[in-house]
Amino acid sequence: MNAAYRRLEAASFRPLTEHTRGFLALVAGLFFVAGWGAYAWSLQLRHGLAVTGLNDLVPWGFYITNFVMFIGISHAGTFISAVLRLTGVGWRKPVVRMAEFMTIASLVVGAMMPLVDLGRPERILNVLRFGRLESPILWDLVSITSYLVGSLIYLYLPLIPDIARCRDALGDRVPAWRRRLYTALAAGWRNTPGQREALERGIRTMCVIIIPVMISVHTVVSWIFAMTLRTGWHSTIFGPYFVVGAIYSGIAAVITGMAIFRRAYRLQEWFTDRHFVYLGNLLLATGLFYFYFTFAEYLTIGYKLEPADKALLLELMVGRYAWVFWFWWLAGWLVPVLLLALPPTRNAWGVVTASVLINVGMWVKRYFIVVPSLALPLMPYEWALYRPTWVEFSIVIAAFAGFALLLAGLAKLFPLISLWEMEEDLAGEAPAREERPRVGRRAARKSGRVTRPAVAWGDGGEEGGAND
Amino acid sequence: MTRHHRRLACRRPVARPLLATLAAALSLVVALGAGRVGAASGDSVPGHPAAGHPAAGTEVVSATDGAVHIRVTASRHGFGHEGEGFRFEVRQGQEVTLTFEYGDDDLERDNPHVFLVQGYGIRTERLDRNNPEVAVTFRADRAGTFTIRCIEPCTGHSNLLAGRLEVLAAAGATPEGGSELAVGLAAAATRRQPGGLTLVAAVVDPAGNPVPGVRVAFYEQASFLDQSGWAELGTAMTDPQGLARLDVTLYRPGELTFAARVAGRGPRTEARLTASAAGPVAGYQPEPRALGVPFINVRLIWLAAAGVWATYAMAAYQVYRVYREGKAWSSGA
Repeated sequence: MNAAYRRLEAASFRPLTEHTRGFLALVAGLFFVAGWGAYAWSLQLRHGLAVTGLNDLVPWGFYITNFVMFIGISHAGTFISAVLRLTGVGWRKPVVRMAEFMTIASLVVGAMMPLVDLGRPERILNVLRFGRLESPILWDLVSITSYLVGSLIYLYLPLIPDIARCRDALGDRVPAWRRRLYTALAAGWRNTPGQREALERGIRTMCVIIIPVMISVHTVVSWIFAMTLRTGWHSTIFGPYFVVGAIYSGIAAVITGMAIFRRAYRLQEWFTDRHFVYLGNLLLATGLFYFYFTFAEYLTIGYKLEPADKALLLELMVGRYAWVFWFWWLAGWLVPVLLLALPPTRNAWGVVTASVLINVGMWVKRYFIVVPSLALPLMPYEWALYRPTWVEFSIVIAAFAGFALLLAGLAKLFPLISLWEMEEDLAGEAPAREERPRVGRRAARKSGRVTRPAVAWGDGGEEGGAND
Repeated sequence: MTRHHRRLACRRPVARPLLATLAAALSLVVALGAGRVGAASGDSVPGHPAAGHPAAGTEVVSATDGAVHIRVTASRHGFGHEGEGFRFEVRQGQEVTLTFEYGDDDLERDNPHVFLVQGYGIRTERLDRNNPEVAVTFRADRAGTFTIRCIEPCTGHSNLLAGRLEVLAAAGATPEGGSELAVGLAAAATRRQPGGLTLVAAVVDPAGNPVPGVRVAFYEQASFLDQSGWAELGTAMTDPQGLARLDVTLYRPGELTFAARVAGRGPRTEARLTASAAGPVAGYQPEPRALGVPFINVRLIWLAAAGVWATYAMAAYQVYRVYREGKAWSSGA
């Protein structure tokens, strides 16, 4: 075992065994916010949706906006992990585990939002009891469930060797229940050739299957909108449009998470500037794709300009939704793309700033996909009014707190970086040395930080690592 | 002929000749006075705006044997002050003057309309804030139902598409003694529309002669939530034999009560009929659309989901292999 790996292992195990005061304060704060949201939800359950701004004309508001947002974020883990794994991109290794954690956390929180929106959560069972195969709602239930289960398997498989290391290395530093948990989840991992072969086969299988499932999830989410005859939703490109939007916002969320974990867990050596720049390049590419889809969407609507489309576009561009519409264009797309594209800001700071803006902007984008189309009158009435109440604000904010709590919990239970995959790299077994971007290298030189552990780590390593 | 088709099913298909025989027999029964019902009924059939009984916002300015002048307000809500609708009857040969009044003064922007009397090919001048009253005059020389609609892309355009002008045939022009008309009702299955039912109403005058060219409205007793009443199914003109037919489709099983009445002035004349739809009922089913096409079937969704979960099972099996290997390794150690 070389020194770099020992540093990595120490950095990964530290959060599992130490609880700083800041972390405890953060968790307490998040629990308070989540608890406040739970209280608001209890009020909603007691008094009905009347305590929200939702009504018969706008039954989807903040909750469904949040649903689309979180399901979108869940794409990042799969995209970064599975797609980059299949294409043999080596730099993904330090960041995939965190991205996969985000997938699970966002899927759990995202799947909760329609339940909250239902008002009577137990009626979700009616989708199973009376659901029609022709209904995209049922497809959504099937695809999200499949994606959640698949993501859990896909998270678990590469975790097995690391859980075995936790089992063997942490010892008395963790409570007994966690030792039992690690032992159970390690599935008897001893790093034998047969186990490695089975594990690789399982990971490869999941890599292949999880990508179409990932695409299906947001495609089906988009079809819930697109298969409804409503102005602004009835579009053939909504499937790929939503998928690209999901990857766009998902990568931004991963970058934001990386920045937070890098600072909180002192992972600067592993979440390097070049990871931010690489992910920033991916973000830029998906951002440009997203622009292409958005442009195509509005052009095809605006060119024909049927009366209802005209009314919707006018409200979006110069009417009551203009502020959210232009906020997205500026903060959700233009400024981030400039930050990602212009050389002076193509560094970790610029990429993180762009990501935060995209996170906010894409939430707003989902809002004006969902709400104005519902508020648009189909009959000669006034536009429907939707004013979210404090209950909705509380639940939405609590959802983000719950997401952060889940993420923090997973990062407290399991190593945030894939130790066994990194060890292979550090031992020189898996070269996967791709060309680095010039800007990232220049930025690294300027900051004086070594961005790649390229020296003398190939000392042969120890087959099997710490658990041998 | 105006028809509002409703979905339904019926018990037994009956041939068209049988229907004709039934209708002829019905005419006879009505002529003998057995079908004279309704005036005494306490459960009234709703009327519709007709000459002399205009809806709010519709006004009969003048009406003589030779000419009738009707004024109607048109706004984004539809015809009438509150969009009550516009449905008017005149007799064939009458000179008709239609005056449209602008009703969108409360709107900030102008909301212009141009009205077309379809079938007569008559259109009005542009009705707008600067020209708040337009009128057209024509002779109603053709019998039938004619739609009056706005052809300008205005606000609330969809509310101004279904004005109705009904020109009653001269031969069957509503007689002065409208109350003397009698109407009988029968129903029979039709093969023209699967699961369909044809309602036949026979109209005769006091002498028992069939009355052609009068409009008969058909109703079904319906309930929705806690409301119940008569829902209009549609209207039809009587033919030279004095028979008006309307095809409907049953949408629920059980006892169904229909009514018919002569549309026009005078006391209501109505008949009741209770039909049993104990057979297969069509009910509301979504159209198959693309998902009904063979090989692009919804079953593919389950097939795809099953494939995904089978692959998951394969991956999960690798975990079992890991566990088995680990156990073997431990035993060996």
